[in-house]
Amino acid sequence: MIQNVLIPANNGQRYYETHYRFFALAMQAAGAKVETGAGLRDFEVSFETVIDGRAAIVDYSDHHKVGAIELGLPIFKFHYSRELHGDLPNVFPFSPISFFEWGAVNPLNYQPAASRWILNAQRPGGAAKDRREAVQAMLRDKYGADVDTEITDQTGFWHRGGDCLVAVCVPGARPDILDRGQLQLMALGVCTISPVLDITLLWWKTLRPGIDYLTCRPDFSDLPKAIEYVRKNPQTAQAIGRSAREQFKRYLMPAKLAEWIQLCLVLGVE
Amino acid sequence: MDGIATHLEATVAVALETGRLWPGSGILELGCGDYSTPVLARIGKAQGRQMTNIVSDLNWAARFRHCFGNVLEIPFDEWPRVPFNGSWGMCLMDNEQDIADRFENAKRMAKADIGVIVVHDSAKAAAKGCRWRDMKAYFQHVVILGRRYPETPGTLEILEVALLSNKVNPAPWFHPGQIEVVR
Repeated sequence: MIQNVLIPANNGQRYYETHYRFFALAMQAAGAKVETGAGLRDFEVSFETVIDGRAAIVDYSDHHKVGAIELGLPIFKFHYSRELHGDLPNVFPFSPISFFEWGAVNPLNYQPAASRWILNAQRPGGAAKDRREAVQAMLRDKYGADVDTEITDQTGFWHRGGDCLVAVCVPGARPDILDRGQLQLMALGVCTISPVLDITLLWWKTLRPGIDYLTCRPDFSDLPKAIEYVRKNPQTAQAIGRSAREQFKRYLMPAKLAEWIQLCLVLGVE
Repeated sequence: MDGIATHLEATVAVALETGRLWPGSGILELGCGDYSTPVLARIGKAQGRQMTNIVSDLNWAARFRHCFGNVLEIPFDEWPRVPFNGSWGMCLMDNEQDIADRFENAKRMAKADIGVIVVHDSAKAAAKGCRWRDMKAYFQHVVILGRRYPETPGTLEILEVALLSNKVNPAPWFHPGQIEVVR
């Protein structure tokens, strides 16, 4: 297991409390001692880390660029795209942000057959403002009071996931990104609907459309069809939720992330 | 002792000798088992060596959690992705893979810094079309160990373990009548 991890000190970096913190807490949850190290570099969308004496880069870009690739160090990339990054040597897929408090990762009692709620609790904002507003308007128009769009704290969000029929997720920074909210719901075993996601897990595995989540067109025009399918097949929704949770447990839990880093840094993975 | 742990004598010998040759070097076990894992863990502890186990079946591996210094999982279908670039004094290859796949694994490990590789179930290699002679293209030393059963004196020799190395000739560690050096 990984013993020691060094990350840059907090000098007010924009994403320190999110992306840096996620990496640090995941390594801590895997049993590593995480400390700040002098001289470790921050880059535009990445930072330098030292893992049991080996230098590496953590790239947290939401977009497809890869930071600090010119350094030639192994790079662990949050939003790895097989299509765009698959040919880059020494760049390894890593988990995007999921949880900070790992004690929260317990399966919900997800029972879609007993529910009529359609969860779509995402703040319209940034690059996703128009898309999210349009989807919310469409859901409210078609499903009225059965749509739950209330923004609450995280715990409330997770519990409402457990009570919903299905969660509709509109990706944020780009139309095919796996957002934290959707990943959390998947981890908790909830059936989600989104456009096809460009996400690569450890060992270059993917989340499988139709198996780990349901898909709709990028413009959400066929979303009602997917929702009707779930209404008629709640057991399938439950199976999809279970499958998503299994993928998360297998490929994105802290112990797996730490193992993956060791495998890539020590044994080499090609 | 049953017929499963036919690698144990070689495994213990290699663990002790590599600890003497390269003090502090790591012990790598691919897979885990009732006999090998506790023994290697004990030798590793006594010699101050880090032991790493790589497994594919975590349910099986859970039985040996008390022995592990470090356990990593490689999913069944992902072994060909791993070239084993690390540095170890020895490696016991007794994982869930078919012997033909272990054979391919061993070839990839030839470039790694590993003192001696112990390959279990080597007797099954021929039936899978694998020839230990071919390993000479990858390893300077290829030694096959046999086991002579007293109830069939002199004739029946079951070859169970192969030793591979680019760093040391392990043949002198065993009785001459017990080994076959591949040339």
